[in-house]
Amino acid sequence: MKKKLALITALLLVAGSFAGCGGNSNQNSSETDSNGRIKIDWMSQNDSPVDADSPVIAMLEEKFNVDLNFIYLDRNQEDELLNIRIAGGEIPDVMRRSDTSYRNFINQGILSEIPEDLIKEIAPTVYECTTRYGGENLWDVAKEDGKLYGMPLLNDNGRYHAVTIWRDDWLSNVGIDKVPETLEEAEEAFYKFVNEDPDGNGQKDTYALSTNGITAVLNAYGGQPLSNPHKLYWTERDGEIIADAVLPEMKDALTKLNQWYQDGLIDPEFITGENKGQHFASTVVFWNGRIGFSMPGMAYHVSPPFIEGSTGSVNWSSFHQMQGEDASYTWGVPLTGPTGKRGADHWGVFAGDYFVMGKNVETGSDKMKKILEINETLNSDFDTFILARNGRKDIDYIDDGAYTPKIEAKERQALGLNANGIVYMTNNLEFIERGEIPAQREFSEKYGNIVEDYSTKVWGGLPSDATYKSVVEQSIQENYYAFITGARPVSEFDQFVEELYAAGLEQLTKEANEWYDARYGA
Amino acid sequence: MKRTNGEKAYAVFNYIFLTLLALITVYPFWQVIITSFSTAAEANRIGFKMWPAEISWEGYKNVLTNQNIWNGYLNTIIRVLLGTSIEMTLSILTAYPLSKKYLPHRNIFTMLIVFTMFFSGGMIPSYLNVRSLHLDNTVWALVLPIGINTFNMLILRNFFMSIPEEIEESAKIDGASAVQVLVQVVLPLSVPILMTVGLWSIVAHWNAWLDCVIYIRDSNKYVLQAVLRKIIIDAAPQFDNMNTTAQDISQIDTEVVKSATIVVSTLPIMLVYPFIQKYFVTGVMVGSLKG
Repeated sequence: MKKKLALITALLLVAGSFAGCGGNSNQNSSETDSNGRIKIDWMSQNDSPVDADSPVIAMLEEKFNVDLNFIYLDRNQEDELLNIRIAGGEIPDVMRRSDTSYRNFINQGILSEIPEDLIKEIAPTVYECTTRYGGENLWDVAKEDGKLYGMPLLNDNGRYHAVTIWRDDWLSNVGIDKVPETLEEAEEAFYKFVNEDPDGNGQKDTYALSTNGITAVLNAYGGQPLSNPHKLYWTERDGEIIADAVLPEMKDALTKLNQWYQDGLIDPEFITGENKGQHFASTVVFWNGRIGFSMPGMAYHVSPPFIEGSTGSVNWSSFHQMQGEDASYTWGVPLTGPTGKRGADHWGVFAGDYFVMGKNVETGSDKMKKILEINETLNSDFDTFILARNGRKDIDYIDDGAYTPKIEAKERQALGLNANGIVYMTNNLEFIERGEIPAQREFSEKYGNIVEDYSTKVWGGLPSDATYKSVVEQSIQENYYAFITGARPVSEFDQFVEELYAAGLEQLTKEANEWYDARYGA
Repeated sequence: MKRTNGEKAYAVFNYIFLTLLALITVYPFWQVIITSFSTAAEANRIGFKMWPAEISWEGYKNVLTNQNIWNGYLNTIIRVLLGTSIEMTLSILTAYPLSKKYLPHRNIFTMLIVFTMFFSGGMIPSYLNVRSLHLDNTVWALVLPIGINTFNMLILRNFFMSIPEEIEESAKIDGASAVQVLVQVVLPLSVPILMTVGLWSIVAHWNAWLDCVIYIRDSNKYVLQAVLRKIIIDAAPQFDNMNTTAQDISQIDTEVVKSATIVVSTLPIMLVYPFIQKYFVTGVMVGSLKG
């Protein structure tokens, strides 16, 4: 008897452990709230949750007659958490997805089709702006098997390229009165930065450049093999797509950099990064007065203050806090390389992100129309755009023409403001321009819009990315660093290229060519 | 006992080597501590520092006025107390019967429990389970699913098995019930192992963040580690895509704030260690020897 009981108990326990995979009973099907407003689950992607009773959101809800429910997922864990939620039957109505994830979600049937004609009808401004700023065929690029499941999201910063900065006080201390524009002029200045004690402290403790400076030099030779955030950028050469890292010019660039490293021009600590673990555009080494040249990021990463009472960009304020007000830096141009071409890191206006709707938003339903209507208004009505992006005048921002925040970032996020441009869709780039003071835009135009040679040709996800990309990118970085420090002789560059192709770049290159031909092919 | 020159030389080098090793291990902690006391500019100065050039309390001022941290503290303390008491109670009540040779089908029960060490439901089924029990967004989602840690329970069981049968028998002769034997005889004899397992449980609950990120939706219910992680990782300046004319906090301050946050949130658990350590060593040893 006892034996039987134990057996039954055991079986029940085992059965219990397999039962977890059963049906899914939670259907969250109520489409409207108690006031009859359409409920929309909106994945915000701000860095912290939106306050449930944010007054700004309440104003927007009132305006659109909807009930907005913002979903917050820890951004460093986002894909994982989103997958768990989706497996649990909770598909957000509105999401923002990268190209790889977008295509996966389409194949898994998670997304709802958004007919192109419906967008043209309800959101004509969005449609027109996307074409105007993103290119004629961008809508076709977004399609999968001829159907559209998402709207391409544009990024205003991607219009501009990275900006170089120079210590102009150092330049004048070593007798150079013009900011170098070519690689040759730069080389002369670099040697003087190291050998002629530009900071005047009597010690040979200065270097010319570090990690970001190396990127700028590689840019001058015509490629972006060591850029942020990826190492795998693609160039078109004689009708073929080829990875920047294996371009033959890179061998010349590495020979030059290796020479500079031996001559002590490059900060030997460059391997651990110029940002020392901080935000990618924070050049801590430059703040420390250790190097005299860098290319930390976009114009807004290095700009001076434009209005009274402001601290300027992070690099500007940090540099002056550490070096004092007497020290100074100025902005340069992308260096002209030996072939006479010049360029700088460039992200591109479209980086492969899409505004998508989960499958609970049925194609052509009132809910889909409502979401499109919200997008249309935010891209065609400037006042609503500012309300969603900057909040309320005199409460959340100061009316100084620059919409300077009156409240802290944390509070802005809690209000649900579109602070980082990732809550709502902002494809009308003209609105972003109107939301800035003219001086700021002029600065970006002046230093960040000089050349447009190097934007990657393939921005989408490739089928084998998951298999090879991280291995290939790591190999590029390790070997480039080894070539620069001399740990591996540059004469082995051709061998390195072969290794890289064998490690998976061959497959990736093939797919990159197919990707490019399918979208932009002749 | 006289030592030869060779032995002396060995001892000297041994001490030097071990001291250096200890310094290398301790320095990163020290670096965090002095950074937390530094001025913003000093914190970003590259190089080896033993002492901050200028003491500044800005980092701590910023951290201690951050409501999220205090909230996180409270949530973590609740979680640790609740989670550890649940785990200890359940583990003892499971381990004690399993340690008795006369328990019918003891091996089957043990095997079924050990089974869960090798096969678990996985993240998505666990999530669905917690959700359909309506535990999500409450502290119960953080303490009930890990109510018994199989490994800790087995260590307890092994320890209980090592207590001589005769002691319990003598208690029974004096008229003690089974519960009295457990509470008044067995548990007092098991203090080292209870301390050890308890410390493991406390540390595990103190450090856990992933389950919080998965199950908890309101940020005012976040545990300290999730708050801390957000502060450390999201410390990137808030200026991307936003107009750059004003910042809430300058970038170089974030280094100080980060360090101060780390110190504030790890200090309590580091203070607990020395007091439990003496039990810790004996507890682990006993478990391993008799296992």
